[in-house]
Amino acid sequence: MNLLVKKARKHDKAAFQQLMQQEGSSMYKIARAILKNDEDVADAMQETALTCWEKIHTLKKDKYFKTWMVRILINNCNAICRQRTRTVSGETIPEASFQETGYASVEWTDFLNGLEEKYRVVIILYYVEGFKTREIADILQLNENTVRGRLATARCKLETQYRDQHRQATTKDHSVTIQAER
Amino acid sequence: MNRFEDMMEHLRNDTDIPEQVWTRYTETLSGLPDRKPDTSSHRGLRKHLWPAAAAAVLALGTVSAGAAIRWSHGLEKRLQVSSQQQQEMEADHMTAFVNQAVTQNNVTITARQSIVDNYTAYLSFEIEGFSLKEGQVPEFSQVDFFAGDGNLSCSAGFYFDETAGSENHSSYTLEDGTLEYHVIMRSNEKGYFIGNSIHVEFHDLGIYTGKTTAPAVQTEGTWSFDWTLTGCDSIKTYSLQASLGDSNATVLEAEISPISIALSYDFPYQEKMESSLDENGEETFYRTFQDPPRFAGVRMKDGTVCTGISIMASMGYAEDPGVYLYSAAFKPAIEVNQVESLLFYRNSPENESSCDEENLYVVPLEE
Repeated sequence: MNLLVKKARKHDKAAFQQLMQQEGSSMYKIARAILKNDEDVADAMQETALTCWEKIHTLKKDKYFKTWMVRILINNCNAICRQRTRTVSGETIPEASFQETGYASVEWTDFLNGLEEKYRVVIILYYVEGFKTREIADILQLNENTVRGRLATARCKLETQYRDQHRQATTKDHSVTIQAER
Repeated sequence: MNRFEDMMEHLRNDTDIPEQVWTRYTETLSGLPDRKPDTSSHRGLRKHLWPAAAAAVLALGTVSAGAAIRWSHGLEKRLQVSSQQQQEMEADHMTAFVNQAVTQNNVTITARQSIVDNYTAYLSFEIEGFSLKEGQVPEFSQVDFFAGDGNLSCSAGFYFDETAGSENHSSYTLEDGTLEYHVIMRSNEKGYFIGNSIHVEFHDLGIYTGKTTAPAVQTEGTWSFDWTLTGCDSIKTYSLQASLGDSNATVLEAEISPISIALSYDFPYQEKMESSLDENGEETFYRTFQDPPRFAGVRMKDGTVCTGISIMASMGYAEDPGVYLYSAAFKPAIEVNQVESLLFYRNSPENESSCDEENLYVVPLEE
């Protein structure tokens, strides 16, 4: 990838296109952690591709391309969020459910639904995209301890959700058994 | 939580993107506009706290000798040098009186004086025959100077006397009716300037309009100067090996002259991320490195604390990644023999011209 970045920084369009195609999947997952529908995700990805092409000469070092790109992507996602936020009858519309497209596991989608956006983003960046906490702190402009805290909280919430779902499933089975014995 | 790890692994391996998203995305990539390569220079391992002026080699001009030997009024005031310091600098050959004069269209520019040590060169030029009204700012349409192919930091401009100014004269005009133009150059290479050739060329003198990049030219002409810089390479060197509190930095050595200081630290290289805004106000971030406590100034033997005296500072790592180098010019000049201690900021204050001693590390200089 570094070779592609090197070429892209010299405005080799083919190299840049290949580079951005390779990063497409990552961009989608990260944008989906923030945005509520695929249309907005597509907007964010398009804007990010254009911005990266326009600004790639400002990238200081090749190896930090992905960190730089993700920062731009999250900025674009947040900008779209701000445009979409509106109030109805004086109340803020609660965060919509996380839609299923792009995540093959329905169960995993349900779990993500239970997290606020700020926790979803760090989970995706850390566990899925493999960024270090320090890098996530730089991307999100947060203190590194805040990132660690959010990761820990997100995992607790997910564990709680999983335990609760598992307990409900066990309880239901037990009820069926009792009924069956009758 | 094995299930969590399973989910994460699943998500990592999941590369499906909805067709509508992928199509829009790849169409955007296909339609990227063509761009010209950017020609801006790459950021190296040195940081500079002073903007660099342009420098280019041009054709040689003609010169003629003349004028008495005397200190540049502007340099004398800028560096606040006493009579004794002046004599010492002359005796050490740190200062030289160039006295090359060129006249074009009744305006005479004289390369008056240079003050040069291992790392810094101050140059002063005197301009006669050009009148300014109150509030007017003089400006050349172009100034070029060349002092070799080394990596230099430069600052140049007309000298402004804050204590001068009367009803009929601007503060750029000195008491004798002349103007002065100063050039300050810095190099991290020890001894760079001494014995090096210098070429300076001034073009078209006029008045700064504030509206365009070019001044309103009043006197057309090209004034060129060439000479070899002389200076003093004797500098007081102190082996310090002084640790700066709990900063993990040790000041190893200090080289001090009346017009500059060069320091070396033992400070392990530590990367950090910093963000900045580009010309469109968009945030970008880049890798840089942690700095040790910065040089703040000096305490003199009479107890006087002088901070905010360093200009055109340069800092960074040499080839040895564990040795951090800092160098700067002094303004005003200092009496090296009267320096008792070096001072370093514990934290970087917003206003570096004044700082309580309790916020400073103090490193005594021992003879």
